Amino acid sequence: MNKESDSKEMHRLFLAKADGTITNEEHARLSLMLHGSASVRSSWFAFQDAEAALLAWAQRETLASHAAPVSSSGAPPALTRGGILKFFGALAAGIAIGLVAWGVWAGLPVRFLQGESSAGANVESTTPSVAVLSRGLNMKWNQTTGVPAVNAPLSPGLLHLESGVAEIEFFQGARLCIEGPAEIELVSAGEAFCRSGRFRAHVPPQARGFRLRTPTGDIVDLGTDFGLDLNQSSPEVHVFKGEVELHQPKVQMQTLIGGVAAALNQPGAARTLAANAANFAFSDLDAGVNASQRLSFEKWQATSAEGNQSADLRLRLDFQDGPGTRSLRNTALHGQDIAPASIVGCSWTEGRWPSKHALQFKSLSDRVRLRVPGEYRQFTAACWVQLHGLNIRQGSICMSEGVDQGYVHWQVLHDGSLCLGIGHGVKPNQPVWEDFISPVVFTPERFGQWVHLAIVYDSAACEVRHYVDGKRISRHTIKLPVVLTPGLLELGNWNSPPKPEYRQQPVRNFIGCMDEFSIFTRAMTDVEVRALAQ
Amino acid sequence: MPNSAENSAASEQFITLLNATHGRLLGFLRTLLGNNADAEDVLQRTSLAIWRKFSEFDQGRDFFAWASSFAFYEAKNFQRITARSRLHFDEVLMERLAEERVADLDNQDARFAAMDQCIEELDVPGRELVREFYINNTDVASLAEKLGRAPQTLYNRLNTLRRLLGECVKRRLGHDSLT
Repeated sequence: MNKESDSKEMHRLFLAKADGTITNEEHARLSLMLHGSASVRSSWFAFQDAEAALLAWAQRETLASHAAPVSSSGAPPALTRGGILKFFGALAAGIAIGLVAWGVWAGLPVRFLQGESSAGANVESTTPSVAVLSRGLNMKWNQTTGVPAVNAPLSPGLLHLESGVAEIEFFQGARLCIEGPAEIELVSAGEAFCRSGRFRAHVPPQARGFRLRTPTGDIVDLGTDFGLDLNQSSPEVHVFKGEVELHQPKVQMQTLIGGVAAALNQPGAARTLAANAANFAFSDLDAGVNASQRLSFEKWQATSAEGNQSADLRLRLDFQDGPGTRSLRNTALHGQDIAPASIVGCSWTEGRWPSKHALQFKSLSDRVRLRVPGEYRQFTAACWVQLHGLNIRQGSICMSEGVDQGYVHWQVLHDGSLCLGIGHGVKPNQPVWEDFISPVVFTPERFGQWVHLAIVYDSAACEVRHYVDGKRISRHTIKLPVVLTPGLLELGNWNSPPKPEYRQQPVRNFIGCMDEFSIFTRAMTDVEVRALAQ
Repeated sequence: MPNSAENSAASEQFITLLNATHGRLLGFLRTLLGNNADAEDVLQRTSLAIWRKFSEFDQGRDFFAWASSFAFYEAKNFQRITARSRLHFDEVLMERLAEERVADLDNQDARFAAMDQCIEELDVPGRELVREFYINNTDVASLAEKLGRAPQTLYNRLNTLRRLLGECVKRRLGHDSLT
């Protein structure tokens, strides 16, 4: 038999063993093969991991296609891991910790939570989202029901705001301000169920019919502003402008007009009150949001000034050079030999806060070029980015020019995963490359949000780690550690080697914004990366 | 009876540790037992066993190393009980697989990540077939009936896809350079 048919036969036996269809004779043969060859055992391990990955994928895919709303009980989805969940159910009954991680395979959580990604596949992308968290002030969310990020799309399900104020814009156009403590269940792009808390809704004409349900009746808005207070012993609806319909069980629908309020616990009662706008002043978020953004920016400035002194920091582009300049200064104290980075194309825009500057990468010419001299056994790179789309095979975050040994290629792949590639030289005409690919990070739901990304090349632990928002999402064993020599780098783009046969440049431009980029000369720990992302 | 607060803290710590090693323990057991259902079954027995012995766990030790020794013992126990109904690897092979698998588990995350991308390379009917197969606990006969296809044809098609996916993972991790 030749090598290929040997390998097919081996795989056939693996499948028969896994599916329980193996015969006695086949089992004896498989055992003999496993006994006799380390390479067959290694293939057996890889085969079992492939089976586990497919099972986990199938479960996630099925959950996503059912568009399961966020579970209000915090219990894991029923489709997963029956046996062990029963055990945990019994054990955890009296313990106040969520088992949220059980619904998804460890290390691959983002994709399910963010919905379906089908970039690169021949089906149209879909999203279960119905609203967006547009802004907020001092928001503290219940950890069990989930902590949405500002600008994050929201899917149907329960939101539990413990304190602070959150503003949600429904896709049909209604805007709802929520004062914590409050519990609200998003139902659709034009409907929500309010369990507790205080709410103020602004419903423009195009969102007419917006429905807020409560335990004591439903409010249907006919284009107006109104407040809903469920905190009092007698819940009330206050209409400030326009008209709402109040639907309550067993009584006739009531129409309330501007200036009027009604108590909800006395269905049908004629008693109406004067609307009190002062009680809903929490919805005036502008001043508070501005002050909070200023504070965050000042905090960032102070932390950056301190961080710049660090002996491990080789490069920090803080992008505060601002509109009008065409270069970015390295603010790291120990990187003063690095010349300012030059901006090619790119336009200046607003970063994470109004006073923070950022560069926008849109066209295929946009890039930032710089040279980072030196050799690095350990390496951490971190940046704040806002991705706007995934329409090319590979988009550069930061890439060394060329493909030589020690070169660093950090990219977003077309399916939304991240890839750190390390060059191992060119032999004889083919670049040798080691790629470390993360699980899918960017789904359409994450476009437009500021995200902190970091990669760690840890040659001491012989591993590469990917981080998103300070959380480690994957680790990969380094097969062959090399000394990194980033050299000439481009942020947001890539120049392949300037050789005659490379007259056509691959298109690798990043589509989005960046407002900070750093390189450290050692492998940061999980705790340190988490601190960077704060 | 132990103090309830202490007990609750220990439970919480236990769940955190088990949660963090669940994927690796299951991956460890799969290679000894050969299929997911048995591995899950044994992992449940293992979880109970290590919970009972958790007070003896030395906090300075690696939890996976400690837990996997219980898992190995439980796997052997399971094989003894089910010896009549199933075909099993012999003890020498089990020991060898267990020993080598511990180091091999470092590759697990990368394989999962690669598979996540490889599956996206299949066409929609291929992906749907794979999804149905794993969701229905690999019951090909009912799947074939549902799709109105001959079971053997369906099984062959599935196994070709599983082999191609395995090769794709291997290629991605070893040779498929993205530069």
